Amino acid sequence: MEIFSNYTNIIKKALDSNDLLKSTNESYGLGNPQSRYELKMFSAEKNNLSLSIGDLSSVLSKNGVTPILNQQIGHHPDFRHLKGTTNTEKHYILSAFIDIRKSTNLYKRYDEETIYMITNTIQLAAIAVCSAFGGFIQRIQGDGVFVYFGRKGLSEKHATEHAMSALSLFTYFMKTDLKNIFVEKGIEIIHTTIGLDLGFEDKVLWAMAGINQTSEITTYSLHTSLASKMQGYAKANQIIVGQNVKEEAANDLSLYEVVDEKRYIFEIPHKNFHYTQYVFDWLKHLKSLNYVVTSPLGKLSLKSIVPLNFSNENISALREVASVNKPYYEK
Amino acid sequence: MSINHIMKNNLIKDINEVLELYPKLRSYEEADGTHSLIGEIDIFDASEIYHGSFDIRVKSTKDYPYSFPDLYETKGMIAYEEDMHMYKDGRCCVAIMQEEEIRAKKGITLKEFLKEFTIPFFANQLYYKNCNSWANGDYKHGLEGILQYYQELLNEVSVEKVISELNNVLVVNQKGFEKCFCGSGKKYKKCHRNTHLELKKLPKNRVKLDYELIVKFKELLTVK
Repeated sequence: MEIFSNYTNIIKKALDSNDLLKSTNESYGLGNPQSRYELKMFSAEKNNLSLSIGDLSSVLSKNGVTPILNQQIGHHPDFRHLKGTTNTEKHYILSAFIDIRKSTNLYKRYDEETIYMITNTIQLAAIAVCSAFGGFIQRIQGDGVFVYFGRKGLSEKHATEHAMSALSLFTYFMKTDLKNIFVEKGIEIIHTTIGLDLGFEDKVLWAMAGINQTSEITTYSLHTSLASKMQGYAKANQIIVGQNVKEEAANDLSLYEVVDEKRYIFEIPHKNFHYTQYVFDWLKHLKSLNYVVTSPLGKLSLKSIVPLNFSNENISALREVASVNKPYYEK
Repeated sequence: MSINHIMKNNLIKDINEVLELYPKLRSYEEADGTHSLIGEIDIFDASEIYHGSFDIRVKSTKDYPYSFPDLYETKGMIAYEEDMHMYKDGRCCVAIMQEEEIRAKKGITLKEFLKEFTIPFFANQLYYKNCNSWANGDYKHGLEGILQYYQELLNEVSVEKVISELNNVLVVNQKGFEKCFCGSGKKYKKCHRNTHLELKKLPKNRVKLDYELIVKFKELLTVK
């Protein structure tokens, strides 16, 4: 998808230039260091890396998304006042755990530096798209990211929709854009696994963990814990969501399928409490969004602002479809 | 299993395939037992470039799949005017009745209707917006359009000759080895038979009605 093109380009460069198999023949490492995509190049690009926001910005404003600017990990701006205190507050939150999983076979073709650049770029793509949809990056965990969606003054329903959009777009990037590059190189792909759950106000306690500078503002909630657990049940490029997410989103029921391996992720039998986890059909969800368009060959893109004047080439391609039609009007 | 039940099952299967292909559409059952698809449809050119989206409603008919569905544009993205081939209620005149009847006779699913008629119709609207002309021309309105349909099908400009050919199809059952009625001297099978086979795809009542309309139209032209 076009919005991720900056991230795709970096990964492509790293894969193309730093292939150990290819460089053995070309005596890389000793003889041809010029063609290598070095860490210092990555560093320079990384600082300016962002989504190609053009078409996305109108989507975000139309959907009432306000990104949280100047984020500081572990310090959600709405609960910053809890810092340095033992005060607590109750407020709903959606917790998303994103993990990037790579095959150990990658180490046969790429060195540690290249693998770092690739996984870090993927992680940055996750951070960028979640942040764009109002997500707050709570923690970076190795190759994973822990994100909160939800703000004071924003409804649970809207926050749920934003989370689903961000995570679906990110997974599409993994499943198609990146997959194509990896398949082209003939290597095993990197994939992600995601868990998402919603805890309502009465079930989420916000408080400071740790002390002084070794602290963060965090949630104490069954549903944050469950989101992390659900991520463990996700297969390659799957998003697993909790029952609360499904009920709050209240969208097409066919988007959800119970996780076969373990239907109830949490149970309190004597209270007859059984909490279900679902595989979320993120692709179908994306296709149904009014700001996403699906081409006849199944390629997804954000609905762009259609230019006033198309090129002659575009007009000729449009004529090819339109000329099948010959309209009439019956008086 | 009754024929109605089979048709209903086929319609449900058809709708499910449509919803898979066009995920922004939803289906619902109308009070009269027919089904409608409503939602948005995206228009791409042959190079997979996106050109625009339209809010639509496609209404199936009671004798699905053997009659032509109705298509509506529901958001007023196109002026509901004759020249845009739109009725006042947003219904789209996607094709001339004769073409609709020939296609419906074979049976037309909603999936086929969307691919063969809906998408090209809206692509043509976008083409018109850009070029101020229709990609493959359009039919004139009303009776003149019906005459134009037969003129193009029979490759005849002359109204008299169109009338004569329609009459031939309706009245004369010419054999292939006979000399063609048109006076070319060729055998019928080497001359007008293929065109007439096209005409015979239309219900005979339709050809008869159109023949009478065109005869009256010619009389009016003569009076003028």
